[in-house]
Amino acid sequence: MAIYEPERMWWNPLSKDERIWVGVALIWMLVSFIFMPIYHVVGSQNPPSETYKVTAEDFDKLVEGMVAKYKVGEENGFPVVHPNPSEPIYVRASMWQWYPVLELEKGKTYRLHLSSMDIQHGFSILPINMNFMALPGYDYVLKLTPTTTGEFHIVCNEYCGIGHHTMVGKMYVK
Amino acid sequence: MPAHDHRNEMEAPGVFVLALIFLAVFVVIWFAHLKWLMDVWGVQ
Amino acid sequence: MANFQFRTDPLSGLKIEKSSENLIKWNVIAALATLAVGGLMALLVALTRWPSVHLLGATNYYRFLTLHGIDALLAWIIFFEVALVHFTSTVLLGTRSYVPWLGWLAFALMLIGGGVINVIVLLGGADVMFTSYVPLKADPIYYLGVILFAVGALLGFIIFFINVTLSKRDGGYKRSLPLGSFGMAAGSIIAVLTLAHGAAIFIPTLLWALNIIGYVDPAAYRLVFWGLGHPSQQINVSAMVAVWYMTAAFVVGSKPVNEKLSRTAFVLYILFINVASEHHLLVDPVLSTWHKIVNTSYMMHLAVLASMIHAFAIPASIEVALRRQGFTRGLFEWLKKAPWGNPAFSGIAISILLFGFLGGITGVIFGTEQFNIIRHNTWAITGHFHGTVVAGTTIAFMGFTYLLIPYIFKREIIWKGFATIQPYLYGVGVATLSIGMMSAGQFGVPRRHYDITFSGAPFSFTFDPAIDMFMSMMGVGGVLAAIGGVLYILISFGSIIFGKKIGD
Repeated sequence: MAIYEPERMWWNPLSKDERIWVGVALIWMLVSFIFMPIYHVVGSQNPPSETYKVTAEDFDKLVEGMVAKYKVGEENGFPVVHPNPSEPIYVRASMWQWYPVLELEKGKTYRLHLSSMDIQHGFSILPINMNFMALPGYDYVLKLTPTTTGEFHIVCNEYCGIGHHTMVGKMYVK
Repeated sequence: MPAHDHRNEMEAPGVFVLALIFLAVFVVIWFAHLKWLMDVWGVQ
Repeated sequence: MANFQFRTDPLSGLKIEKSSENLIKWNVIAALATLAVGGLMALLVALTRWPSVHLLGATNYYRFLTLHGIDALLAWIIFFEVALVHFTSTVLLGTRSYVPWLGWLAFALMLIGGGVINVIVLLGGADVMFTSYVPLKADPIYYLGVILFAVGALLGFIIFFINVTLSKRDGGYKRSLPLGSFGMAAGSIIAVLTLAHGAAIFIPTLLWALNIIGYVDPAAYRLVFWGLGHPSQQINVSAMVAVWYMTAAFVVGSKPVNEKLSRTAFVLYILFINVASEHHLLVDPVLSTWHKIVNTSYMMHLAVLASMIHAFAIPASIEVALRRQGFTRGLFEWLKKAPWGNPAFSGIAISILLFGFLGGITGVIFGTEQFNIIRHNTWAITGHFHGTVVAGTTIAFMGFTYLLIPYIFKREIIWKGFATIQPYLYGVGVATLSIGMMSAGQFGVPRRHYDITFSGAPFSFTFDPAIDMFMSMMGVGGVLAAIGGVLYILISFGSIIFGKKIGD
């Protein structure tokens, strides 16, 4: 019993049902594992890993440079930016806003640089529901290809202080 | 006393059936997530 | 030989020594007390996230959520696990506690650390959540409390190794530990590795909070913190599985179907579970793709295989035992005739079922590198770990309490009728809550979020109206679970204080 010491010989062969179960469980785990590297080759949704170290000041300059160059309007005090798809685009997270509002083109692939000015934030594109981390000191590059058009929101989903629930940004895909 | 050899026996047929149901549910939910993943934007 | 006071428990036949009995008692009492606080916080938090109630203000919501994590996830479970350490390294072997002083030192450190954390969080000095991701800063006292608690827990788990080593000398066992102790051995080994990670991250963070060092790298913090945060859940899994085996043995007299299989599965936990903790970092910058795939996923799958083995082996041992008792008709007569009215049995049965279907399946899927894109930091994650830690570990420990009270406290369980329904009530509540969270998370509802109507935000976003139903499911489930939790606390404390004395 589980509460008594086992018999002297306990290294015994498995019964039929145990053998089959361990076998199918192992096969299913291998399938689930092999899926990951394979999907990196055949799939179009994979977690990026391209990262650079960056200071808040330097990143802020890059963001403002993009805004100055490609600003097309303003919404609720935030600049609306329509960048050239062949150039890098930037999203800045800080307590408690996503800056600026981006206008992207459907089907184009953008190199979106993501970083935080202060503490950790969670970059969640809704309602499409894609989620990535924005860390201070690191520039995380997402090669993002919007495939649907409309109005999207960026919600912070990593707790970042008392104003966390007001940290909502906006994004358009045209 | 030599241990009784269970090698060709189904010791717990009831649990075996329940376990296969579990695995089936697992596989279905897994593929549902694959579909949901393929519906989102491209990201690399 | 010195004079040690042993007694033989009339119900279980266990040989119990006095100092070990006291250590188990006080660790269980501390566990119950912290669960009471953690559970109250849970109810308040659930009632806030239920949009039609939205009980608390933002400050209190985040404060109580932080405390809920500390008390329900850390304190309740680790106090109970240290009680299990004492139980499986002394009582189960029929030998004494060799280092009771160390047991009390560990207990005192955990109690002081836990108390410090509770006070500083309630005073508003640490609204940083359970994870306290840098550079979000708490009062240094908070980190000190965590360190004190962790050192106490580390000593608590070290006691396991001291006791089992010396027990062999006194004939506690001849060759191998009983499976229940073997499982706690796995848990204790994982605990030592886990708590070492805790020291590696909380000591620098404390120094940083004291302005002695200037900078803690946020990415490195996440990596090492989860070396503490996730493997500590694997201590829970090992302890929970040990409880499954022991309860099945105590209640239906079941014998592991194959000791080789069950023990190998525990070894898989030790080998693979600690490095499998990085699925929190799958959509983080810094780590390379292969690092993510190998560490989180390759290793995780071998640990999951172990869980799938246990989840088969334990019900199988119950089936074999009940078939031997004569319930052999068809595939499922044994299942119908199982002792469903015994809360210790129904506790582990519900725990096995919900841990597998709710926590287990979602754990593997959300921990798969690509799927994490659509699940990371959504409420689905919260749903997942309420399926593992609450519906799995907590219910298993609740069930085991119904054995510890007669065996260790020598008291009969009061309110037998309520005790019979308690695991069901709690199980249905947590399952409803967990499914509600997972379903809302599918639509991107964030975790740890005060207001998903985003009042006061520069842009307003409205979720798919389908989430209303899932949010309400969470709320109703939370209330049901709270009722089940209150019943558990009342029955346990009531039995310990007012229950009819057994034996003597």
